[in-house]
Amino acid sequence: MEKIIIKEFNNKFILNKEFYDKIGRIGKIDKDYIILEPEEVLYCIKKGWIKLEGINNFLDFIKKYKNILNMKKFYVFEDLRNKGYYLDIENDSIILYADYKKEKVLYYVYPIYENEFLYIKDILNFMDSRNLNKILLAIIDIENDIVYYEINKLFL
Amino acid sequence: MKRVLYKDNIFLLEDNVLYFYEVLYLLEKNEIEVYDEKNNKLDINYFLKDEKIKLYYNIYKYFREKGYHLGTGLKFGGIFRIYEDIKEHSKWVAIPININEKIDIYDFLAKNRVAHSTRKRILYCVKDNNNYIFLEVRWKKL
Repeated sequence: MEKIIIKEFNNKFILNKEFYDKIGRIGKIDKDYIILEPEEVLYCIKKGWIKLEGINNFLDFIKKYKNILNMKKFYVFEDLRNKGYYLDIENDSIILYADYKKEKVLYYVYPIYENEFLYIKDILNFMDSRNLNKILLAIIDIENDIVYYEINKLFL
Repeated sequence: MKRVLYKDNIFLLEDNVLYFYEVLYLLEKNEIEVYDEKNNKLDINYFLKDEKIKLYYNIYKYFREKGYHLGTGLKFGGIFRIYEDIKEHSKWVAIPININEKIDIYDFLAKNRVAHSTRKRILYCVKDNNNYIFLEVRWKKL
């Protein structure tokens, strides 16, 4: 498959809407365009689906966009996407959907590395700021395996 | 009123060892009296000076007064095991925690692994001023 050329303006990654299905419904449609987050672009580059001017490979992209790239989000996006789930990245969240229509949200995902601490206050703020009673905690280990836990707020 | 002896961090009624937090509950309700080895009478505040015991006791009391049954959660990596129905297996392994505390991920994983393997769920009982927030954790296969 010929690689699709993606454009970047002020750290925003843009593709023509016609490619939406070709890149597996990744990104958000805005009028005639698809807006991709850097983690989504990195995923597509790794898959060999898209090409960005001045970027020859995965590592080039990481080096150039290290200031806007969140690798925790990328690892979770990659893992779940490779398992067939549909996701979006927005406002510092990873959203996991029930299916390709991206209408029903299953979880907002909270990623964390195994060597970090889980701050209760951060979890509660994450839930409260999005008005959620459940989230998916994604713990990324040093071998890049991810284990998932559902956290439910109960009213007992 | 029954007299309970407090010795070496254990409550004794004759030759029976009583469950620590149940004794505190009965003590607070004035249903028993507790004495130390020198025959000094001890009130609940003597025990609640310890902040950890106070945190744990308040959770014990919270659930007990809502009709749940509680026992020690030691074997399951937590503070309490909580039963919705005493005839069934316990549902949760409770871990009382203050809202400003942090959890070590390795500790989180170990506790959840034990809970999952015994068909229970970890329940973090988060104290936020005078309120409690309950966070139930379950492993999710994706």
